[in-house]
Amino acid sequence: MNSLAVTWEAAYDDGTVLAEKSGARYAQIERDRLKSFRLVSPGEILVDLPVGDGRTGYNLVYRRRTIFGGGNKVVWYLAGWVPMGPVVAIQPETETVKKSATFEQSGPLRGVEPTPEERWLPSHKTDFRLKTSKVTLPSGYVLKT
Amino acid sequence: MAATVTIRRLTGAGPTSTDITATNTRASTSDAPAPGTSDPIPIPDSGTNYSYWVSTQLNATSTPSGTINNITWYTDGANGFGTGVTCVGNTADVYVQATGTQGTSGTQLTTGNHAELAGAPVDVFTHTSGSPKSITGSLTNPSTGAFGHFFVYQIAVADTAGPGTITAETFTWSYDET
Repeated sequence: MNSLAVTWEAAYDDGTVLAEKSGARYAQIERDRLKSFRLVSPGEILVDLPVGDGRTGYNLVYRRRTIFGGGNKVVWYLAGWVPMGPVVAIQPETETVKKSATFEQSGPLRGVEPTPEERWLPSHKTDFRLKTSKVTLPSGYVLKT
Repeated sequence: MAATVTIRRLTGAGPTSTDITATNTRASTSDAPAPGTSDPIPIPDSGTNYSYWVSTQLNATSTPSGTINNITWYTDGANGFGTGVTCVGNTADVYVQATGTQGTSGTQLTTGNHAELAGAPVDVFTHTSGSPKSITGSLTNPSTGAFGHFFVYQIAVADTAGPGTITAETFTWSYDET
């Protein structure tokens, strides 16, 4: 697996799917119809984040985080719900997964800058505890918390 | 499709933009983009000699599908250059060509000598992955090219330094993309 093979999919409540690999852009996700957001690689779902339990499509956040210098390059894929969590980061090359209740002060799960389509309304800031969410990890991945 | 982003070193009056993503770039007493071992920084009999300051910036050769933002810069937090060798830096929103006396010393990096610096230069090793330096700027589809502010740094060699090539340090950039 390589980083180029990891893409996102937005599954809607009518059964249709908007897929990055088909050329869709993150800003095109219809957040009011979102049922589930997934990070996928060919043939497998790496992370599946369903809405519900207080989370809506407007709480969704996704980033491809590149860290490079000195000839080295690492790419993390971040996805989750803000502010209620959880947030997950995947590093495909090392098959590492990190999961946290919220964004952290440092490391791969360090906070993000919101985009215009991400509405982290104050009214949503009701529960910062880590809630159970269906996070499917592929075999061989390590969950580091 | 993810953008193709490179780390660039800016030199000269133009300036000239040189891709240093996969190379070790050296600070020297010249404004050359790849000085190699030419124009090393002489150890002074007393006081401090400086490298020409080094201006670095991100550059996208292909556009992101969405936006690039949340740019940061940091080190490993430990000065491995050795006794008498320090490195200071800060961000700048406009390029200013490095000056000095070639082969002897660069002009000291200060807000007085580099009017576009965001503030007084600080020890770069205070910027770590846990407390990175935030770099202002973003890039949105369909734009390409240089984006974000510069990170400008300078090596300072005191009279207590020893001769020879110093150990390389890794300076890290990070950015988010949608």
